[in-house]
Amino acid sequence: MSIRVASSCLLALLVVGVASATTLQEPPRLVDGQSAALSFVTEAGAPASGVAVTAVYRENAHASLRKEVAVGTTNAAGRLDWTPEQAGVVVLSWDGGSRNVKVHHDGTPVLGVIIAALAGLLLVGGSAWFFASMLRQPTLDESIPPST
Amino acid sequence: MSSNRPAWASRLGFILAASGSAIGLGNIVFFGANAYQFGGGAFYLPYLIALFVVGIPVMMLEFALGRSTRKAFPAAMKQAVGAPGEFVGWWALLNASVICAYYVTLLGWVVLMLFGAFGELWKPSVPTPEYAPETLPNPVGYFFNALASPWALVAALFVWLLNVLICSKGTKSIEAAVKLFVPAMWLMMIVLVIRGLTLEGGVDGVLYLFTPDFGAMGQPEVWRGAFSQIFFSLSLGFGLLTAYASYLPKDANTNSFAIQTSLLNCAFEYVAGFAIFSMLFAFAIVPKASTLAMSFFVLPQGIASLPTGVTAFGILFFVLLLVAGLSSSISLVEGLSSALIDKFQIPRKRCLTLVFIFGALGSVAFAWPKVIDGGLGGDGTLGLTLLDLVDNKAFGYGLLLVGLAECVLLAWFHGSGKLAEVLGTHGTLKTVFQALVGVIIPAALVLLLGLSFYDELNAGMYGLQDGGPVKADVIGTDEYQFLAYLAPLAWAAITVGGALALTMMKGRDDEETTA
Repeated sequence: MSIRVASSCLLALLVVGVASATTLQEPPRLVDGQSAALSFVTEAGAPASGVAVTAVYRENAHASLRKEVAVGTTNAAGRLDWTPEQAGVVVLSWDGGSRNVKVHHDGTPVLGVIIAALAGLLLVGGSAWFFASMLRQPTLDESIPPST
Repeated sequence: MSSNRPAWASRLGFILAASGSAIGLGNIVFFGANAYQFGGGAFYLPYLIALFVVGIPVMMLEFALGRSTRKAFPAAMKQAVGAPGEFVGWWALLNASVICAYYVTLLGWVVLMLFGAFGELWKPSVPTPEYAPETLPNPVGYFFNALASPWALVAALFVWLLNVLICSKGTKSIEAAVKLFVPAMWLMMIVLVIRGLTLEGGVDGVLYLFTPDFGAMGQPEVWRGAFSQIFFSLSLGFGLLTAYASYLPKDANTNSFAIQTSLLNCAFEYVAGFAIFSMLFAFAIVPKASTLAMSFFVLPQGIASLPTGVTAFGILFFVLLLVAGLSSSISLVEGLSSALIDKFQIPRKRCLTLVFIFGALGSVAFAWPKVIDGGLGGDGTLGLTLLDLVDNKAFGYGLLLVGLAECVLLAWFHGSGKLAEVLGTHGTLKTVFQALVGVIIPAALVLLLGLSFYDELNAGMYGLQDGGPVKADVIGTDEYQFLAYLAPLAWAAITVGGALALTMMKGRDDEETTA
C-alpha cells in the first residue's frame, strides 16, 4: 500500500488530457494493430502541421512495462497515420498537449475470455460451492458455549 | 481459560469475519492500482499462482495455530516455539496496530469524502484558502480542504468509536457486524460492476485485465507485485487470523476455512477488477499505483464523469470503502485486544479502552492538519506525510518480516512435520506443505524484502533522495526533513521495543503456571 500522494494525485488528474493551443480532434475508434488517422487543429481550428506526436503505452505502470514510441509528425493537413501496438489506454502527447485515448483489442481476445471465465469459476464458483456446503452444516460445535 | 473463551456461533460468522478482515480498501483500490501498474493481463496469472503458492498455505498455518492452541497470536507462538515466538507474535500485532492507527485515519477521510459526495465533491473546483488564493479542481481540492480542517480529527475519532463499539462484545458483536457488512460490500460492488460494464468500452477494460501478456510476464517485477498483493490482500503477517481462529472449536476443519477465506477474498478482488478496469478504460484513466490516489481522486473522478447518477454512485462508492475498511479495522483492533486479554486476563472493556486511547492518539497524529507545504508541491499536511513515511516501513517491510519470521520459527524450530500433522495433511500433500512453508515461502519473502531494500539503497532513503535534497512528493519543506528519520525510528521503537517489553512482562498465565 505505497501511499505516494501529492504528485500522484495531480498526475491522476490527467484524465482526458491538457488543454493546449494544438488539440487532437476526437479520434476514430482505435483498434490494436489497425491504422487510424489522427487529426490535429490549432486554436483557430486550422490544420496543425509539423506536430511531433509520441505515444506512451502503459503510462504510470512499472518502468519496465512502460513503453514510449514516436508516432510521427503531422502533415500539411494536420493528419497523422498511427497504428497502435497494444490495446489499453494510451497517452498521446505533443508539444504543449496530451490526451489519453482508448485502444480496443482487435476482435475478442479469446485467451482473455477463457482466463476470466476460469478465474471466475475457480474463485467465485469455488466460494459459492464452499458456501453451499457450509449452509448444509451451519454450526461449528454444539458443545462449545455461545459467545461470551 | 479455554473453557471460558468466546466462540463463534456459526461457521458463517467465522467465515464472514475472516473474509471481512481480509477484504478491505486493498481489495477494492489497491488491487486495481497494482494490477494496472504491473501490466493488467501480465499480472493476473502470476497473482493466481501466488494465491496457491503463498496465500493459502500461510493462511492454513495461521488458522491451524489459532485453532490448535486456542490462543491469540503471541501466546500461540509462545506455546509453539517459546519466547522468540511470543516476541514475533507481539511484533506482528504492534505492527498491525500502527497500521490500524493510520488505517482509521484513512477511513476518517473516507467519511469526509462521503459527506462531500452529497454535493460539494462534484463541483468542478473549490476555493482552497488553506493553501493559496486560488481554486483547485475537484476531487483534489475538496480532499485537501477536508484534510486541512479539524474535521479530519473528528472523523478519525468517530471511526475509532465505531471500531470499539463493534468489538465491545467480542465475537458476538463482531459476528453481528460482519453479517451486515460483508453481504453489503458484495451487493454494492456488484452494483458498481453492472454500472462499469454498461459504460461504453467497459468490457474492453475488463479484457485488458485478463488477457495475458506473456512478454511482460517475463519481468521479475510483475511476479514481485503479484506475490506482494496476495500477502497483503489476505491479511497475512498481521497475526489477526490466528486470533479469529482461536475462537474455533478444536476439531474445526481450518484447512477448509483457509481455502474458503482465500477464495472469497480473491473472488471479491476478481469482481472489483471488473468494476475498476471497466471504469479506467471507459474514462481513459491511467492511474498511479497508489491506494490514496485511486480511492480519493481517480475513481471519484470517473464517477463524476458518469452521464447520470453521480451523487448516488459517489455515495455508494464511499459507503463501500467505509464498510470494507471497518470490517478490516475491527480485526486489527480485535487482534491486539484478544492478545492482551489472553496475557493479562484484563476485562474486555478495560482492554478496549486502552487500545482506543493509544490507537486514537496515533490516528490523531496521522490526521494532524498542519499545512507544511502551501504550494501543494509535497503532501500538503503533516498527517499525510507521517502516514506516507510510516506506511513505507510498516506495510512495505513489517508484514513481510513478520511473515518470514513466522514461517522460519514454525517450520524450522517447531517443525513443519508437526504443523502438517496439526493440519491433518498426509503423503504428498504433507511433503508439498512442508516444502512450501519451510523453504519456498521464506525464500520468496527474502527475495521480496531484498528487492525492496535494494531499491531503497539505490534511490536513497524513503522520504529523502540520496541523503541529499528532499523528495518533493514526500516532504514539503527542509524544516520537516527530520521526519524521514523520526518516522522509521518511532515505528521500530513502538513495534520492536514494544514487543520486547510485552514479551518480558509477566502475564497472569505465567503467574498461574509458577504458582
